[in-house]
Amino acid sequence: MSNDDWCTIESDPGVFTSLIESFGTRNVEVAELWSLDDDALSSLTSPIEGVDDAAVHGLIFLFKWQSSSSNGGGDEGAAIGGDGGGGMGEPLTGDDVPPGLFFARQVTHNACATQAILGVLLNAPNSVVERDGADDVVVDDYDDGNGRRLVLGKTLSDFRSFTSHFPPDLRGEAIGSSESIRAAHNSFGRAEDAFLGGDPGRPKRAATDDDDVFHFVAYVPHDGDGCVYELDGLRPGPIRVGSYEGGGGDGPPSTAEAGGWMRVARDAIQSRLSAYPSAEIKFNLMALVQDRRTYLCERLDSLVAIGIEESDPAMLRVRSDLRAEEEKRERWKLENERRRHNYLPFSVEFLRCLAGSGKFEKLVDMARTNAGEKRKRSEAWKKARGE
Amino acid sequence: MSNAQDLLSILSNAGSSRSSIRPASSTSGIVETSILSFKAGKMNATFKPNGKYLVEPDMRRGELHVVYVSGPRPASSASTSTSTTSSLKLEWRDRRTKTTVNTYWVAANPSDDDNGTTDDVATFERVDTGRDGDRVYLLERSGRRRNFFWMQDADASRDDEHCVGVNAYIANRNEAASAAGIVVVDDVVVASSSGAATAAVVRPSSSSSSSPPSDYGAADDVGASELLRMMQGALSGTTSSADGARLVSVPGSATLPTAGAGQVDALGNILENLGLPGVGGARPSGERNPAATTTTTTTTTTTTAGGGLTLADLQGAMAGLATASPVLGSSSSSSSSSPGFPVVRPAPAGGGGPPLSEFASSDVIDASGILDDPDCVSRLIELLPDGQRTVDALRENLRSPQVAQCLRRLTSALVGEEDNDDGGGGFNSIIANFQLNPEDGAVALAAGNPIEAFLNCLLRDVERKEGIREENVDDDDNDGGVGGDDDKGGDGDGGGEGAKGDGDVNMDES
Repeated sequence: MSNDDWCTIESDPGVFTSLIESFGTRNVEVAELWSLDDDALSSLTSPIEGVDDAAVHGLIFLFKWQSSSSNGGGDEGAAIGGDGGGGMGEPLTGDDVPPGLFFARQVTHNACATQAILGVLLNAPNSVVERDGADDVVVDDYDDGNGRRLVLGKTLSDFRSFTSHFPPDLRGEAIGSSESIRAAHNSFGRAEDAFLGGDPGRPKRAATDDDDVFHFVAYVPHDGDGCVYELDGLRPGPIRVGSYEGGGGDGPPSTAEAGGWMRVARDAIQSRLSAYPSAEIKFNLMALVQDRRTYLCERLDSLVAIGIEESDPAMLRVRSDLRAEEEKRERWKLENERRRHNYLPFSVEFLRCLAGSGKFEKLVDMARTNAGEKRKRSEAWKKARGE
Repeated sequence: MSNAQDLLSILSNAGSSRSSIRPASSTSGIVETSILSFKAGKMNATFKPNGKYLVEPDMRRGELHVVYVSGPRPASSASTSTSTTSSLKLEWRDRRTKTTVNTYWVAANPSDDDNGTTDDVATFERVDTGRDGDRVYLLERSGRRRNFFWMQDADASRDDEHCVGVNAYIANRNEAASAAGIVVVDDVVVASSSGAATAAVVRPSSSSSSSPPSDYGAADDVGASELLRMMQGALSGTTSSADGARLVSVPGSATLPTAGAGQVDALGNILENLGLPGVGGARPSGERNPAATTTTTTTTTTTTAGGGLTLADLQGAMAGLATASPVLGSSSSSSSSSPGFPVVRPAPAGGGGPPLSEFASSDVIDASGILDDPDCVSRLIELLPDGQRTVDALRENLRSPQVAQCLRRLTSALVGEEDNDDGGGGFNSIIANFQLNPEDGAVALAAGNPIEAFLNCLLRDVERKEGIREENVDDDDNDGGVGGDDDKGGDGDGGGEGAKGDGDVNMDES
């Protein structure tokens, strides 16, 4: 599995949301889930008072091996999924794959995050797809369900139709060689890599703790047959992990269904996890959800429409939530700027300033002492955990 | 290792008419001649976030020298003959302190240079900055390494001549050789009467009374005994003062004839500056002796003992050089012109300096006081991402995972954990890219402490360029401020010392 020209990117909701927006997709953001329990899942579909049908387009489960006893490398996914551990189905191939379900094999390791994200976006129920030719959809002319329908954007719409008849591995290749997708992905790579990574032409890679050597698996609902599918690029095809009620038809899934499919996915994830001792795996869970600002604004509008005053607590709550969302976006923007920025000149200048302070020896000692203490604490911690 | 080299060069050149100290690059027989020089200043190129380089003049008054180097190849113990090597380098010397600050090798060199490797393609050309009156020149080596200079002589009419001269010597080694007054026969000269290993003979063409070298006896490499003989020869003053390059050549002898007091003094000074105890009964030691006492002791000891410098003394001093615990010099001795040597204390067992990310912790930052220094703050802010160039953002950035990560990656690059072709590659390319002088970190690097080496290089570089802050905010001694407008630090040389280049130079980021 080559890594040509794809750098690794950080697994962070801000990064992923910006990445998605850079494809031209709208109405989506990425949220991190801290727990898999029912409450956590409901909070996605019922995030605020008065909204109980917020869209959740898919879940992405990231995991990586921790301990040295693992068989690392590309086999991780297969090892974890194993023999369909937990009684899941077999990967579907060829004609068994439900029509309209987009699945791609993973070809480039570093692209795995983007690949999983695409797996959700291109399978999002009822998304607005922009089409070329006679069927041109003028962007402003559709009903996006007040943000519940994801707007795919031209790049991804074109990509989807271009690859619609491809087999999974060819689709994976198509992702790997898509200029626009790769460029968007790489714009989130680390700026210093080119300088510090030895050969500037080669995206560096020895995995370190810092690194995003995660494996990504996506879970999506497929309305066509009311089933939930697990999309793992390292397997030959999608795996059906269960069904939810009321799938099919136009319009966004109802509350029960929305909650339903997620529970099915959650159960599948838990059975996967249960096969391994928790100390060995580090994992994250992310959800691709409707842009929060859209339903906040909708709520605002409906409160105004029924005559609620600005001073009313309900109104104040919504306004403050909206402000919090804007602040979050602002923070994401700053963080992304920092991720793109080459801090090497800054870092060296910073060290020079310290050197010029006249107290360098003392500062070096301080730094050394701190490092030593950290080491001691970490060793004590390891001992306490019985390692 | 400029002071160690001062030591050796004093010894090898004692008796010659040259007054300035020239660094020698090895211990036996290497001869250096400056064949062209002109007043010039250095310039520093800083990489800006917008992808361009900002090139600013270093205000120190200096000279660029083209130096022809010749000498024996470092002999291996198996060989019975040695050949000469000749190489060419440029040196930038500070006219005020009379020291050589930078070395730029431009042709085959057997040992280290400023930037770690040798190369054979070099050009020296005028740069069009778009402004009339700028006299900016670029030394470019191997198409990658670039050093900018600005002409400092008030008279611009000889600029072209100097430029042509530099290129001519680079391109034509024989020209350079003859300018150095050296006759080279086929580039390889083997001369030996007894067949034992000898240094190659190069007879100065203009010399009148030099005696041909007799063989040194069975020398074991370029070793301590060679060194000692050189010292003895130098101090004994057997070499007459001839112009041009000479080899020190002296019959071996174990004891030292009368030493000139001045030379011993100079020797003592150098050893003292290295933080080593005085010569004469010296043991390798790490303690730093107070300046005055050592010099006196040295002089007294050696003169009264009749200049009894023994091999043991020298070996001790040299050994002490390699293993001395370097001491922070700048704060304790305010009067010494240079603090001497590496200034970061090496770590206790566990090697190397602290991981660089530790410096970004708030207690270190607060203790340093740099955020209260408007100069530091403005320089740092410049290098932040667009849209985050404020003091508050500066604090946030310093705390950010991105800065910590960058420092961590810098640390691993220095330590060589990254996927480099050779272990030392990280340190060298980092030093080169930030225009630091690798010699400043050579001791620490040799001891296997690249982080410490890097910090030493930074510290020395800051000393040279910006000056270390004193506790009282007295900046008058601050020479060499970058990009300064005023004429401070002048010694009345006359105001119009040539236009200096400034501003953005459009260079492709390589």
